[in-house]
Amino acid sequence: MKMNKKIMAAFVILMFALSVAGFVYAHWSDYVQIEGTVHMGDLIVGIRDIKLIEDSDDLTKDPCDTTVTLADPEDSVHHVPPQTVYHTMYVTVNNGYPQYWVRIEFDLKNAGTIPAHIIKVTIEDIPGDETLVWVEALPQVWEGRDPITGDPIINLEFRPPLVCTQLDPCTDVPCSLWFEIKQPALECHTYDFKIYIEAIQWNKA
Amino acid sequence: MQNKKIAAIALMIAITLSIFGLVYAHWSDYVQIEGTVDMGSLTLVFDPAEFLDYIDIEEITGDKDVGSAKIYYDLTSYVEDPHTGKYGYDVLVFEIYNAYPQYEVHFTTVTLHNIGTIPIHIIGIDIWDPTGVLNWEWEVPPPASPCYGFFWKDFDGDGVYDPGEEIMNVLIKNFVCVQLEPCESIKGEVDIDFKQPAEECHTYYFKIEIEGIQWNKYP
Repeated sequence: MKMNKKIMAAFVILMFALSVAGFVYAHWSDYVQIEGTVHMGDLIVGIRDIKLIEDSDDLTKDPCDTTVTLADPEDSVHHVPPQTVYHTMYVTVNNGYPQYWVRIEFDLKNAGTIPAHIIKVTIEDIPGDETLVWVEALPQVWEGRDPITGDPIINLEFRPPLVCTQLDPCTDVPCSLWFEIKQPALECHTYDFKIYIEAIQWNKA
Repeated sequence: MQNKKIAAIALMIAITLSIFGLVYAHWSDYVQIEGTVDMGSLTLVFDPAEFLDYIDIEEITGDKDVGSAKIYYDLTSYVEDPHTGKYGYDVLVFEIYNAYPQYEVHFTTVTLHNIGTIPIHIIGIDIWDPTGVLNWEWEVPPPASPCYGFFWKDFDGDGVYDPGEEIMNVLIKNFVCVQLEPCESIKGEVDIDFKQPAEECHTYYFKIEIEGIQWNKYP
């Protein structure tokens, strides 16, 4: 009997303790939550279009012709309507001769959504035909030289200079590629070269 | 203990690489331009399609037929343009036989042909004696056309021309300051007449070089 009372007392104390604790911790509650969604932008730099091809003999005799074509297109996904830019421009000079020059005006476009910063222009020879060694003779002015004699064969520059140009999204930057064939260029030869224009996200420049 | 060291080194490398990745990784894009320049050709030749002929003073006057001449291409100077496939000769040879003072020969079918792909501007004519026996003196030099002058021989050895030392006159019509488009040709004439001081039984040599340059280098 005495034992039962003790058990009952212990149970009552326990219940009482639990009710006190419930009083302390029980309360109305509500919550707030944050759902994060990150839509990443894109970085697309390319040539939008060719605006002008002008050469030294257009207004006189016209023995030499330059053709320019665009290839390797990419559409931006963020723009409505989509913007198309081209990653490769092919320039072909047919029947070149010394002192012939050509100027190609084109729009360089940032078709993405992230500002781009042009960090580097690299010119290199394409193996196969005559070899040229490309040297940056002056800041952002290149000379393609004969690898043996060192004579200049082609002078080339971008106007305005491209390196350190920042392209904002949806912005076209007009620029022109100008090059001239120099006197030591050889008859009936073919000279090939490739120019890389590299752009990175603006905040990493 | 050894295993813990290796694990620590691997961990350090991983951390280092991740740091570098954090520093150098960035979005990038590129544009490339491929340029190809096919050079043309500048090739000036004597036109082999032209029938070579001459007329001398004896034919003109209908008199005796004493002197004579030959005109032909030097076959060793054959040139073929790789772009156009056209051909011609760099050297045209004149030979005059049994000449005498006042004998005149007119080579009337000297024809230049631009068989290249670039226009040519003819800028000048050089005349000289490859043996050094005769000296050349222009009277009306290029760019006048016709241009003419004479060869003289330094008989008295004083190093300068003196009247009475003329051997032959040479006159050239039509070539200087002419611009020849690709595939275009022009016919000219070279006239030679012998002067009284020309010596008997001698053989005289001369060369005429017609120089053309790319059209856009002519001022």
